[in-house]
Amino acid sequence: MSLQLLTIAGSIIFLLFIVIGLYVLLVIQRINTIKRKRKIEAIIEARQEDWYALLIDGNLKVDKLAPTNALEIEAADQVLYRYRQNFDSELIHRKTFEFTELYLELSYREKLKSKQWSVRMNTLLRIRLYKLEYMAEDVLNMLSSKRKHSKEEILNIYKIIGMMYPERFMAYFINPIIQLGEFDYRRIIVTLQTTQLVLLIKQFDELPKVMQYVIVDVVGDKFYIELLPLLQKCLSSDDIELRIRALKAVAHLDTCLDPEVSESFAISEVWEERLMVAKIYANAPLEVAHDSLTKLLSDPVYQVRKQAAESLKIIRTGDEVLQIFIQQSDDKFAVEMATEIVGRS
Amino acid sequence: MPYYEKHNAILDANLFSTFYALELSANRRFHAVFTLVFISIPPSIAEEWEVHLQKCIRDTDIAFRFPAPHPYQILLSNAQQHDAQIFVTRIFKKWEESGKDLKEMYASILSISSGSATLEDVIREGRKSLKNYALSEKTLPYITNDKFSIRERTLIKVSILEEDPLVTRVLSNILERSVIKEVDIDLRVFHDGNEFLESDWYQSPHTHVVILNDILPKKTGLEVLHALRAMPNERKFYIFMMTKRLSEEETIYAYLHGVDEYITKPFNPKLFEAQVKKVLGRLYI
Repeated sequence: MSLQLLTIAGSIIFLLFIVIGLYVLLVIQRINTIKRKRKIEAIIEARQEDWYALLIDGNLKVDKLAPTNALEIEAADQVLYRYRQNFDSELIHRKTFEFTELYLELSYREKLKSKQWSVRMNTLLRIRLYKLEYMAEDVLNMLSSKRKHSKEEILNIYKIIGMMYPERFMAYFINPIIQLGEFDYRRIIVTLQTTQLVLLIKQFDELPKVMQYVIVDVVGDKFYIELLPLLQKCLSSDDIELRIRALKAVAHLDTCLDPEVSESFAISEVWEERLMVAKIYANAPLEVAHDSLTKLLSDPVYQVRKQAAESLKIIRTGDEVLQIFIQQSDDKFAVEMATEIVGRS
Repeated sequence: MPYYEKHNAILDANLFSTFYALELSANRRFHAVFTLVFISIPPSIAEEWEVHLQKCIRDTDIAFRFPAPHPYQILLSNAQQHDAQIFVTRIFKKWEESGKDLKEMYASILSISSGSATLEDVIREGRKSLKNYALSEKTLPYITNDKFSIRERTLIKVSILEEDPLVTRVLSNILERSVIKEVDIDLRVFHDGNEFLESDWYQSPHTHVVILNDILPKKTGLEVLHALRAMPNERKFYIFMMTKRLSEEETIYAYLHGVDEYITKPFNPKLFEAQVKKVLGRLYI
């Protein structure tokens, strides 16, 4: 019995030693991290004016800030990142590129291979932010490496590919190494230049549906009025979802459609299409919009009625049309809606 | 005559100091320039002249009757020297057109841009100018005196509210070199919203440029913005808000709630410098 007790007590003491040992180790690690952080801050503080001279005034040579040890490399990396997060100019971009190419390239290359996800991610973010073309191959190689990368990393890799391979990016986008959803595609496509978007649009019909939807949304959200022909083309698609999104994008662009096209959507069986065309009519002259919008005021779907009234309210002298409608219409629901919209200031 | 009707009466000299103090106060607070006109006439025509003067002055002008030998002073509110020159030319011309003589009638004009011009100083200068007129070539019916027409240097307070000391250093450097020659700036950096709002730094009547980040520890940039715009003297603040957000709604919200300039990060420091220079120049005028 006493031997058993002794064994248990011994085990507890042993475990306690391990726990205390681990705790001490963590505390030491934390102290070291804080010390290191302080040292880095001190290095940054001491050279602040020199960094300003290099990146803002441009009157200091890059080699005057050449790091001589690991702490200085870390400090330089932090300074550049904090500068680029807040300031941007051709000079800052050029000096950052020069500096990283001379003194940080090796460090970035190692960091891309780090076991820590956060280290790899931060490096990818820097490569994209500073547009470090000399790192492009290393980034590309990550896609074929044995290490399993997270979706976040892969999205960042694709963004970098989109930025640095304006011609080759399509192959990667169309056949991604992991399955990408609409939201993922959106995060990538929104970062593309208009010229790259045009390249994608050239092969629009061959693209996966999800990419088509995202492209149409991006055209509207980013006000790419020059890409209106794509939206017009999508309006004759058999895909209802694509047509609705194209109509929505047209409404975003604050432009209007050919009267015949608009009228055909105003009598569509799909209520979302009627809703969107009611929205588009807000950009048309009253003589074009009048008939369809007054019909849409009596639409069976509440949202469509509301949008038709709102569009009439936006159109110059459309207010008068609403007043006449209120006085003359027998449709109780439509009159209620029109009255509500007119009553709003 | 009902009390609410303007009757352009010529006021007694005793009241001049009160009106002068009011104008000087407006000048100090809002940089409103005003002008004083000293008129000398022969004592024999005083009665006729007063009737003429009452007809000619605008509703915003106030004439005062002083004892001889310089009986009239007119305070032209919100008027520059050039306006006063036109005014004097007009009243003398009308006097002449009514068939009366302009002999021994002349004026001195003092435009007041400096908030430190004391009553004694301006009266002395105005009268001295009238004396000088007698020695001049008399090509015009008036003489001008520029002694108080140069505005004093203005002190503008500047606050930077940003957490990152590296960024505040860059902004401070940019601001220090953006200062236009007529303006002195008093710059202070705060690393969180509370630190700023708990200080008494923003409570003085000085024009105050605030450059704040939308994300700050303890109190956000928007909270600081709301607090500043809720103050009774909120118009003295010119607020730049820095943000990393690009959304249209947030930008509109910020403008509607009192932001004067919305700057999206990362921004070009040279453009920022140009913006600050433009703002300081406008605040001085």
